[in-house]
Amino acid sequence: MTQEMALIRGPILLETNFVSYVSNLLKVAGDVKSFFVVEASALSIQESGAPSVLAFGIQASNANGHIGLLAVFDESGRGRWLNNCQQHHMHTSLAHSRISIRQVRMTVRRLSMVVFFPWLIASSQGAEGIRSVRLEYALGPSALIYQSVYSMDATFALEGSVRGPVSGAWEWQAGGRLELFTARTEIFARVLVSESFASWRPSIGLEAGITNRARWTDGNALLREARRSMDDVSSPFYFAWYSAPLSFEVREGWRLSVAELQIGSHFGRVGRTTRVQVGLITLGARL
Amino acid sequence: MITPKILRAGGLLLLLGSCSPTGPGSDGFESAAIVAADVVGPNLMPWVRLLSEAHTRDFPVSNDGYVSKDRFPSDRLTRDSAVVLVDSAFRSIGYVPSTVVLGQGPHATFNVVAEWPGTDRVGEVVLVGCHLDAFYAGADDNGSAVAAVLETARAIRGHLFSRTIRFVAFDLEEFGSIGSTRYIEAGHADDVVRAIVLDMVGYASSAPGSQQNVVGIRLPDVGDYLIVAGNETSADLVQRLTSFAHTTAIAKVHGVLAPGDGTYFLSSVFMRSDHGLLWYRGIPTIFLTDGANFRNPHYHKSTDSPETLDPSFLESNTRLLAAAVAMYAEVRP
Repeated sequence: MTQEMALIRGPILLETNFVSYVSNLLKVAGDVKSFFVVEASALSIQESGAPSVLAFGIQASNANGHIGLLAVFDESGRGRWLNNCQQHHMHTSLAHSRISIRQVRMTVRRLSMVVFFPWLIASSQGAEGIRSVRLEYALGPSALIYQSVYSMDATFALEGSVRGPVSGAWEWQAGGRLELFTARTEIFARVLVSESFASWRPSIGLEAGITNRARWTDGNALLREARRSMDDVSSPFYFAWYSAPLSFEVREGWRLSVAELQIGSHFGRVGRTTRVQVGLITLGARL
Repeated sequence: MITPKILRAGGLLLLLGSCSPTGPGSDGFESAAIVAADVVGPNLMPWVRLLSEAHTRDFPVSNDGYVSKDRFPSDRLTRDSAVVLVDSAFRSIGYVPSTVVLGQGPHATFNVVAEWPGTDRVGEVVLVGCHLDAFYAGADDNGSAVAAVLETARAIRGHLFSRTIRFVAFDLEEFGSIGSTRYIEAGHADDVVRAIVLDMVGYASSAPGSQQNVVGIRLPDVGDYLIVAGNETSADLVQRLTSFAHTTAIAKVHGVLAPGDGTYFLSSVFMRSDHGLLWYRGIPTIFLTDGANFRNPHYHKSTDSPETLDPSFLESNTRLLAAAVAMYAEVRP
């Protein structure tokens, strides 16, 4: 159980880092209690010497820790509930020591990576993965919210991609998005881990891309010139944490996925921009 | 004057106390204190009153495109008389200011600039900025800061500094830092190596509960201190200045550091003035404020008049500004 907890913490910490690691810093100061992140997660958990199991659940993370309920399924499909509740001990302890900002930030990032990568590796071990070697072609609409210090911009795009196997549960995916109405574009590539459980096929991964969609186009005159000036120095390169918890093989060779979530930021000044993208509905076909 | 027992950087991050093991030394404190001592307190309020009178009788700037709201009375923003007054004020204390005109139409900006050249690092500029436009009389916002800058500009003329000191009174900050944005965009800040931006530095209260927390950042609830805000890039400047204030008891301050370079959505409250784009560009910049609407009940109201200010608070903050200029521009002994 202890190991499960450690593994489960990975994506939570990572997303907290991507979305607003500022919250971690606020938490260090010990005076923010209201911040929380709610996430739906699909996880693959493997304890030493045991087959991997799948978990799906909803978890909330706030300044002090996280709490959630996970449904965990073993190989035979039998499920059990796991109450996942844990304090962010490491962060809490930092609040009581005099440390520099740089130390805090480095610690948060390091924790995220240390916890995250073992989890990914654990996922790949023992996972049977997608057996097909055929490429999957997918298409669907997505919504993107871009946020910078002074602005928030929401747009819709049509997304197309191709996806193929790497090894075991590991897959690659590459594609592009064409923004509706303005025709702005971005291209991306992903590495992801996928699991199959009956018709359920959740996946998670990391995405990197080049975009020109970080444009603050709202009509508010206040701060317009400042926004434009800041816009000009945004890097076109971004990365994002990707998860597709509600992805299903609806029939042989056809995959339907809804509410795919990507949370990321631009390289260079991570956190200066936040991009939250939701794949509204995606239909994939293996040809 | 109250000696702070501890200089606590609020919420967004950590404590900046004089007992910090990584705290800076006191090199230069003595020289900075000598410059600060040249500030003449009684000079300040007359500047504030003149500016408030100028704003009161001025004609508003066109607010086309800016909807007037309770906290944002865009139809009451004035600046023309203040531009003339600040220009003549710099001349009266021995400078030859220039007005940098950028943009066109009703929202063309008029930034008033005056320089005190450095002795050996002339090309390295320490920028001291504040905005000159104001809603209504704008005594605290921003007559107090303009007065502090003018008096500092006068006080430093008896000293030599390694770096060049550039005073800039920015235009149209209230409409979204337009003056400073254009000034920086046009390359006028390319030679700036340090910057100090002031916005509202004259209002204080000794009443418990007079200081509100700033978006999750817990601050001492008695609003009788100056907030010295910085980011990672300017953290050493903040720490040096708060350490100086504590050591010399020249002003009561509270250091606050925004995370990273301070340009994140959750810390945007700390970018609400002309230093915003300087932070974005990575120029080490500190921001001095009395907390604006988190303390001053007259914020952006017709009641923002000179009588609501605390002259001794403004004086101590101006001495601190002069000291900061001396340290950052490296006053010659």
